[in-house]
Amino acid sequence: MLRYTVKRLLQLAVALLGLSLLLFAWFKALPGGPENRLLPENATDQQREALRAALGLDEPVWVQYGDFLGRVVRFDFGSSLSSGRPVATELADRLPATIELSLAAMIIAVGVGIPLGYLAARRRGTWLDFTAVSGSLLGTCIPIFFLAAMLKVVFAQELGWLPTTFRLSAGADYTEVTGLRVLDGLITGEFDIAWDAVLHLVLPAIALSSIPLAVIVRITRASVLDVVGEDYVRTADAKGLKPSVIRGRHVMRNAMLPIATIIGLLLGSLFAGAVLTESVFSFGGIGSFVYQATTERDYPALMGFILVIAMFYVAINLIVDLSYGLLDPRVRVRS
Amino acid sequence: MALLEVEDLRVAFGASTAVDGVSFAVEQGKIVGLVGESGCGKSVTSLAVMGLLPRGRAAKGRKGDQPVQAAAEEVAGGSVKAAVAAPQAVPAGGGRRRGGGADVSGRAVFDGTDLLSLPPAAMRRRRGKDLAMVFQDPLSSLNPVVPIGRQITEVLERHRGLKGDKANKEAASLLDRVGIPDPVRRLKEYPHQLSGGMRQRVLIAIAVACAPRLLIADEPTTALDVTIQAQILELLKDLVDHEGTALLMITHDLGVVAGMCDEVNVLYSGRVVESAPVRELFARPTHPYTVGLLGSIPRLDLPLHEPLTPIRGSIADVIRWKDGCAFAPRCDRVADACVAGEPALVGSAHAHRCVMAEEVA
Repeated sequence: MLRYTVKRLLQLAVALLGLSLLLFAWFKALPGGPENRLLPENATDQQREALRAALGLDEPVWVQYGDFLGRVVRFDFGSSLSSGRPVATELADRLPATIELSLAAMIIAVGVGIPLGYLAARRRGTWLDFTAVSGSLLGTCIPIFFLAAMLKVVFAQELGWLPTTFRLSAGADYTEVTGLRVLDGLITGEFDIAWDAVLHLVLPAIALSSIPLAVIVRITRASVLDVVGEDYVRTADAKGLKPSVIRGRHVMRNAMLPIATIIGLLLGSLFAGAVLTESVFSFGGIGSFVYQATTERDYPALMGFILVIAMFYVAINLIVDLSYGLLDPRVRVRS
Repeated sequence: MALLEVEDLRVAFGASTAVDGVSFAVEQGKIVGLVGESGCGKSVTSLAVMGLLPRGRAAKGRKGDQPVQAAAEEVAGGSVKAAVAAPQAVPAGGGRRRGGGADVSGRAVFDGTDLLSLPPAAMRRRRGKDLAMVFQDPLSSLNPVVPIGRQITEVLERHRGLKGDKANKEAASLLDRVGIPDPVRRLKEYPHQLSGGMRQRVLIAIAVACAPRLLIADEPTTALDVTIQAQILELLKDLVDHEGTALLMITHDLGVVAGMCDEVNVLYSGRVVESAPVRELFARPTHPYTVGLLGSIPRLDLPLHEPLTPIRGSIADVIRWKDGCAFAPRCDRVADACVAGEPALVGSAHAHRCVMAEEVA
């Protein structure tokens, strides 16, 4: 297991290095260059040269890449062109909201998706199966921003059951610990804050969970159907074991292998969905920041965002791979 | 009274009949063979006795109270008339096809109780305890992600109430009994870390964990090397001799039958066509199908290049038993009498289902 972990960590480093190369090449290839943005249009060629020298842009490409890499590993992405604050600070301020939203969405998707997929498989051909399968098809078809807007209009604006925007009610007395507000509320014992944060999370999390939920239902259903037909399930049955033991130890433990992989992939893709959901609910996460950075061609901000998201993605995949080793002893030994 | 008496067992999957009125008995401490080629219904018979077939709609019990596979595959089975429809070959290891429940009828009386009429929960209390099964493919029959120790202790926990250290100790002694060296270390290993023969020993250890009175072995050596085969058969024979367990041996291998069994039932197209003590069967095979089976065994005492004599045609060439002998299309001695109605099983100690028996003998 240790060797496996080390090997995966090395692969991770290689992947991130490759990504940094791509990013660097991309920014090099972008037209214009920073001096055009930083200098007025009537600047002289001497002024441009001076600035290029000051920024180190006259150095050979590989030296520039070394500089770039050196700053990136220290999370120094430079300052945002629009706000002037360091990109790393901007991201650190906004990431917790996005993480909280993504986790909430994933909890919904896993908590509802796996049981529902299991039931659909076990009651194959019944109305429940039909509803789950067609419902999940619908879930993958509806664009997130549309679903988010519909939920907001119906449950927040018309019915008034849930708040429409933001992460907490106005004037809430909140103590920051981790930045995940539900968690913070629980840690500090401010349960009213935690509950308020949960209420604000419900609609955006449901909207964001629609696609992963649909995918998890389908994968679980297929996986359970597959496993239930396996010989070892028949063996378990031949032992006269209780249905609950057969379900947990023999069916689900095997059926979880493909599900775990897909959960990891989905968690990465949630960040993309979060950008849309956050803007509908003014959730104040990384989404609005990236949206602004994209429209204003704020390259340092974009670069920081891409690198941070990539790191998350890679880290999640590492966790999935490691959990795969825990779930499946065959992976553990082969490596 | 025999330990297990199967009477007129019929199993149909929708419109195709896999088992078409099979009757046989297994006495305490005896090894009884169920012999036939793929698709003759021998595996389905054993699964029906164990209550492991997915149930058809007609026989379905309470919701959520049925074998696991049944629950996932609860699509309509056929109607009653399906039981007399043309028998068709069912894939090997039959009864597990998706989307078809099995309609089971007849009786399987085990120690005075008809297993087929037991409610699923009651049957679950007996499975693994009073009657247990060893399956054909030891790799796919063991859960790949659960240590083998746990796969043994879960039976001990369920039927003998053993837990923790006690269960582990018992599991180790079971592994020791089936001839696995260093059993304590093996308990923590996973199926893929064991050899094929070891895995089959583990399956046997699981099956005998609660000292069942009847053990059903479905082709227990088919997936193993020849040298391992002999060891596994020896082990099974040992268990029967020492524990007085009855063993129902399902096989297509007449060599296994000759070496192991006390009684043999030859199945063809879902029915017993010949039933006799093992010596009697090999000495005086009466049904042309049995004769054909014996004739197709390679023999060491024949000239080297003598071709084998297979039975012509395939098991798919059948007529319905109620119209005549299902083997008639493949039989060398077929006569008009063979297809003039249902052939009866005649004789008691050595019974056969052939109207031309005198001619054959």
